Amino acid sequence: MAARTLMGDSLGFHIMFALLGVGLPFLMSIFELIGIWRKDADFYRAARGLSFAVATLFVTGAISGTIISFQMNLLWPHFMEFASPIIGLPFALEGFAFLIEALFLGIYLYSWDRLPKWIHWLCSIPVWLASFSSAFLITTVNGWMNTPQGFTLNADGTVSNINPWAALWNPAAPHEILHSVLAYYLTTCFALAAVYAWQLHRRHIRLDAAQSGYYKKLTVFLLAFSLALATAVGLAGDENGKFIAQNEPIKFAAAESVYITGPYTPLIFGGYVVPAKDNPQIHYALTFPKVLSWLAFGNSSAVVRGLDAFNPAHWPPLFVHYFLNIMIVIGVYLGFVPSLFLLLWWRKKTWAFSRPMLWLIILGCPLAFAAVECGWMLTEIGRQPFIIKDIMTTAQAATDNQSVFAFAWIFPSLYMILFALTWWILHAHYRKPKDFGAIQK
Amino acid sequence: MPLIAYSILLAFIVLYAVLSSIEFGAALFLVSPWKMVERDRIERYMGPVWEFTNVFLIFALVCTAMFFPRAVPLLAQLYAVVSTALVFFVVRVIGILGILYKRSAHGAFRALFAIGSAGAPLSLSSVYLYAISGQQLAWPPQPLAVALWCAVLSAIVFIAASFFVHFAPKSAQRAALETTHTFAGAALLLSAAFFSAAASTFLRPDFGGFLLLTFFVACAFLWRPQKPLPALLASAAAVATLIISIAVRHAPYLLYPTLTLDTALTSPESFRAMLTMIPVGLIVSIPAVALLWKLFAGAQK
Repeated sequence: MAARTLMGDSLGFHIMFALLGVGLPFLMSIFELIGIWRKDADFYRAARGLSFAVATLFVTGAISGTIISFQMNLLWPHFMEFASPIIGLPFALEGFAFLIEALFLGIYLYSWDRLPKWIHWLCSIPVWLASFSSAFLITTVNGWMNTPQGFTLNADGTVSNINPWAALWNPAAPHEILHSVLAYYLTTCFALAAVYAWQLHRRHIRLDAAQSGYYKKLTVFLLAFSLALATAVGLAGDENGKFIAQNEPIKFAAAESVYITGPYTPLIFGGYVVPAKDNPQIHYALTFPKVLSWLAFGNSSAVVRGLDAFNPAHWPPLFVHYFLNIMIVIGVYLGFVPSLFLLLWWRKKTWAFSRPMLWLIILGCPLAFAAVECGWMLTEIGRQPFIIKDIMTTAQAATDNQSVFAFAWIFPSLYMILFALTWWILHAHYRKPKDFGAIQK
Repeated sequence: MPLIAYSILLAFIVLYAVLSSIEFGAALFLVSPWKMVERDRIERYMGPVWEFTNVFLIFALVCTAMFFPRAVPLLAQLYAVVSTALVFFVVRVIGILGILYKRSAHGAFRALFAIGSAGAPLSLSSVYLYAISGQQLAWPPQPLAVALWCAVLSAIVFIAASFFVHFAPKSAQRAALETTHTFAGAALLLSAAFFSAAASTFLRPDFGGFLLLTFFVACAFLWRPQKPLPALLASAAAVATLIISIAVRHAPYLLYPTLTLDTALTSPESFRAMLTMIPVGLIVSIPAVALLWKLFAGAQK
């Protein structure tokens, strides 16, 4: 239990900084590209301004990632002993991705005024490619945990015929990677848009034409981009759901609260789960007849396997249903807000930057992070009691070292301090008054 | 195959030890009463590069898990020690954020930076001690542990002083750094000798390694005034020699006396996959290092 708690704390903290570490370099590169190509001083300034945030968040993401690397080995030694020969390659490659990202981030930050603009922009490409690669590789490992392949499991529990490349290109990986990375970009867009929306809230910025023009321009861009991303995330999520229905049916059944196998399975949304092993139920849910069969298999008469088709000892916790629903509701919100904003901006620009609209944008930031956390909790908890699906349970993988309990409160406390300090640093840096007159000239 | 894997693991450990010594030493210098290094110096000379030294620690961990997966459950028994090291790493990062990013002059951040930078290598060296001696880590620490800690701290100060002597302006700081470098070198030799004596029950004596260590330390002393960069490289070579010498004497064990390199080794397929990817990764990384060094060196002129 202590191992699960510690790992959950570490991953929950790390994902917040890691996703910004994936999204911010990408946005920074786009801003700089637009700034140079269109000779737009505002975008160029925004790219330069983002550098500090990227560097600071890289530090925090790096240390939390380092902790997770060690905790994987310390808390789950039996998992690492089993899995490292099979799926260890992405871990090694991720180390190189991190190294390249760190090197080029150093080059990028160090050479703002030392390299020609286009060369400097080219240096941003390895940064976001490397951060994307890190997300790609780590998610590949998670995909393998959900759809293990690339080895033969012998009767005595040993493995043979190991193929690390087949393990790396496992079936779940592309679906998980597409959905999660797009979600990281979407969350980052909303986080930045929320910051700019907050700035537009401030009276002295609203009264300053240069500053308000700067933030408005970037907000429009980010929300337009967010709309495209939200659409893509939704489509990728649907595709991921279809994959899970086929390949991880027990996770699918738990997430969708399908307790009875049969055709014409309804979509169940919301509700209150009663997780009784002999007779699980869900109350007060919205039910849409035949929709789940159609969504999962493209055919309203398709049979969806319910939890009754599986051994109850292998059911994941049924509250994963909530994670799925929360994620979907937030996803709809993240598509609705940019749509509303762009409609208002098209028809009546002043309404687009009204206080209620700005608050809707600001609210999108914590919700987007919450959606990512829910998605990962669905993925991980939905696979329980297994750490490697159908092969190794989480209990089998965990360490029996009793000193884990002693550290169960230390790391969460340190994460809180780190989070608060990072927030303080970024807030203090970006709160400083900026000379918009100079950049406008 | 086992020796190749062991060599790669050792290379990453040496790289991490040498590069991170500069950062750890900088933290200790920052709180020294002689003010040998100031924050702006650390920021200027370490700013672009310090974030990636941790990568080599991750590589060492990944190599251990991938090349020698059977070692992982045994190392997991050191959960408390490694977690202590991780706590020190976080404390160190809190200090770094405050000093380099918040640009705070508050003494608390310097103290945290120093505490973390001292505690992390000492904790990690305890893992190394466990691997080479197979001994349960006791409190109060035994002479072997004390000797190793002295060697680690000496090595950190030795390399860091050599680095900042190379880049420091001609001032009173330089004199303090050179004195520190001298004492650290002497301490390194003494603690290495003491460690070898204390470890003689499970490590073969290696007079050749000790002579080589003495040679490099002497080079660092002699070259320091006129050839600061070769002196820095000699300092790094001295520390590398110490680590490699212990590792060579430790072979064929990975975890003494339970696990040898042969018994801990991974499958041939995994070994080949890793061996393929490491050079590819290095080919991509080395030009980036060169470009960063070029920019960094150009900025110092």
